[in-house]
Amino acid sequence: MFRKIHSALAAAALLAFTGGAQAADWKPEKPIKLIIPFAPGGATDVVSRILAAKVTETIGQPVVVENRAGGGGLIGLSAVREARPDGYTVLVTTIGFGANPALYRHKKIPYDPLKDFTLITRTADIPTVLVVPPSLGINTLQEFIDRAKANPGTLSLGSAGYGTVNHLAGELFKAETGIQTIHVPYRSGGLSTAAVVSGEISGLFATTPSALGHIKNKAMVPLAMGSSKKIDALPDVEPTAKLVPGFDVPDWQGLIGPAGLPKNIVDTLNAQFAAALKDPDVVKRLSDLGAVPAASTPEEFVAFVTSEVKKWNGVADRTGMKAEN
Amino acid sequence: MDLLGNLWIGLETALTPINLLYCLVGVFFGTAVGVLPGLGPVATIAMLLPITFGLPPESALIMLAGIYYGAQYGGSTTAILVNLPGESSSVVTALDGYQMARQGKAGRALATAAIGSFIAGTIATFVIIFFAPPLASIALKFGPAEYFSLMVLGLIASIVLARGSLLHALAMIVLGLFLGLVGTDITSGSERYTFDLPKLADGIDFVIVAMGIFGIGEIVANLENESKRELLAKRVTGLMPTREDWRRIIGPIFRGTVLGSILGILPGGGAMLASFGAYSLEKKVSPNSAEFGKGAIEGVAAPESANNAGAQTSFIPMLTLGVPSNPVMALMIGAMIIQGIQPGPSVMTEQPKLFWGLIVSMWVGNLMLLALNLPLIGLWVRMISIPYHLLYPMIVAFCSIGVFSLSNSTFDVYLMAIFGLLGYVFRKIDAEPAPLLLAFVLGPMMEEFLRRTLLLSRGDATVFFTRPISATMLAVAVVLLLIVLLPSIRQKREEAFEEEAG
Repeated sequence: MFRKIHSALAAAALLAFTGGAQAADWKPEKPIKLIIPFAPGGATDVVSRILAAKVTETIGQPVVVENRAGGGGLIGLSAVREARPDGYTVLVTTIGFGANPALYRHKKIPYDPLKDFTLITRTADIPTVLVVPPSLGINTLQEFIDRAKANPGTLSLGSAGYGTVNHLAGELFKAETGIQTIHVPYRSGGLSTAAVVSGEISGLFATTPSALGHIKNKAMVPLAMGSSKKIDALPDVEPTAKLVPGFDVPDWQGLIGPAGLPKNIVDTLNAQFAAALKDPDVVKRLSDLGAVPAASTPEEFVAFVTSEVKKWNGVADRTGMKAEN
Repeated sequence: MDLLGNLWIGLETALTPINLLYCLVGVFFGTAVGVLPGLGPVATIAMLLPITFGLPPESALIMLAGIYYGAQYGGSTTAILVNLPGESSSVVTALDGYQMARQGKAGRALATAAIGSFIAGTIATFVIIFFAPPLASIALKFGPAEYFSLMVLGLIASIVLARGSLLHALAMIVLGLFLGLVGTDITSGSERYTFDLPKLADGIDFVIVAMGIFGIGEIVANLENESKRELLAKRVTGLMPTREDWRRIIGPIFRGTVLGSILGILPGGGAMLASFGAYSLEKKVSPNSAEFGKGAIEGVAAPESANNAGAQTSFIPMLTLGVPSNPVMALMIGAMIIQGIQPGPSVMTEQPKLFWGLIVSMWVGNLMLLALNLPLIGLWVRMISIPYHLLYPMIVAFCSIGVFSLSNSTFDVYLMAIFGLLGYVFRKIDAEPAPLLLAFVLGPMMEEFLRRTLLLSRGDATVFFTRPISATMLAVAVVLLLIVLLPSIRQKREEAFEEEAG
């Protein structure tokens, strides 16, 4: 009972907040399926589940999370692309969404990020940080670049696989600084983190939540943020952008649906998720996870993904980055 | 020494009523998902993660840990009763456990698994208490070269697993390696043998292969002679191990525990290698080695002890270094981060309640599992006396649900059906599928570590021999190979095979 009143209040508050701007508000009549194209338990999954729980309270229908992992997210993306554009099937995608066209440019990739989907909103960013093992004896970003330039091809950068944020940040770093490093892919983010701790690899653009504990224990040395802003947990770590202008590779997440999603549905979902991302409880949970709310308008999100596609195509032009096939 | 004080903190934390309750909830869920084929602890923990948001960190981790080691207890149940290994570590349990069940000894096999797991869990808990930090540093010394050599050792040891012709065993290993190649190559990102099907891009899931070949294949074979199957199931003798059984299992339990505790701390296929290794070891040293594969109780005791010990010690790198040794531990690290705890060495000093409470709860949980599982044995055993025409549709349905739940894909269910057919063919031509599964799991890992080693050493292959741990393991592998191949021993081996065949 209390819960019902609570959600009714929340819904009322939401209406007040959005000012009823969307005249033809969409009222879902059945549960909404939120597809996560990755295995359960990862950062995208957990953040999305928090958001799904909040939106369930306000939209009047359950938002049900369904994991469709596989093929670097392609399986989930195909499921959404083929779904009816009725708002009942949406998906949370990440950085690989905009980079895959560049990574797989040598073969036909099965989707066009802008034409095959309707972009609804960016949801959250997870900041990244370049970390190295203490045994490397490098303490600043400049030293890393100098060492790499003096000994081309000796330093290695790990990743959780092709098209992950670690890989892409590393490729952009190589392209912007002109250094040569070896890309060492691992099966998961956890294994690549462990490889820095053991000194197996010389560096990793890690997601901050996975690295903070190791940094505190001096098992990793942070050289620079991979995303463009400093974070509270690492007040002394400057962004890479200080040396490499414009460098900004957070692990972003965003909500998309099939192509041709009607505007009232896009606007409703956008408003609902934007409100959830402002909820103090959600903000706190996200910040505990190391994620930063990053709500945007649909138009801003389209502009952002367009810039992503261009950015990674540019990197591929310069470094020959690709997933071999 | 602070140890007693720490243990006291642990006891105080683990024994509060609320934490006891969460421990019970965890092990109960764990047993349930372990028993249900296909549903594994990874998916369960992931789905329960959001529920833990509101709990104190100790309670959350105690419950999640309970799911993990509870699933190890439950996993053996279907392996023994209906030849359905739901997890890689229970494949070897199925070899002899199912044969025991067919001989009417299902109760004794299940009790052996539960008791072996409990003893192993108890010892492994003490291993964590006393040796966690030094063991963790060993885990970090394992680079890709060491893993590769360990896998080579494991694969060669797997030849010992084989029954029947050596040629069959080799053929099955090679087939397993080929199947393991399907999917995206980790090192280069290229897709291999995927026929441009996105659903094959991540390779074939182990559960699909294991359930198809073992479970479905077994059902198809059983349907050929249903009348015989029912007769077999009716003679259930004894639910508890006999005095003679005890004498036979105590050695394997301790050897399995030692092997499992060591391999458990290594990231990757630790738990699986542990159960395969423990089985191979027993087959070599046991005076009853001729019985292996035909219902040897040692063949249940050793791998079950090993995988539970391994499940327990796999917490060591996670708790002391913040380094996950398997996907479950990665989720546990996620759970800690959600609770605002930074995983790493400081957990031990800054969160003593969490650290020691979790460790003590593992022993409490093991005790609960024993109390939970022993009375259930009578119930499980009655399950196989259900008429087969009612039982097999249920098994097929549970397998299909389990496989579907892996990635919500019907493609996987069809794939399982194909492997079921393959399993039936293997049975007809008398080819033992266990080496295939081992190669299927180890092959891709071996390749991954080989190529990562060479990537990091810039193509210099001598690192395998210059790194001491790696060199030692390769040397042991060579010795093993010689033992298998040397004429005199080989003759003995073939004699043993003939005995088995006869």
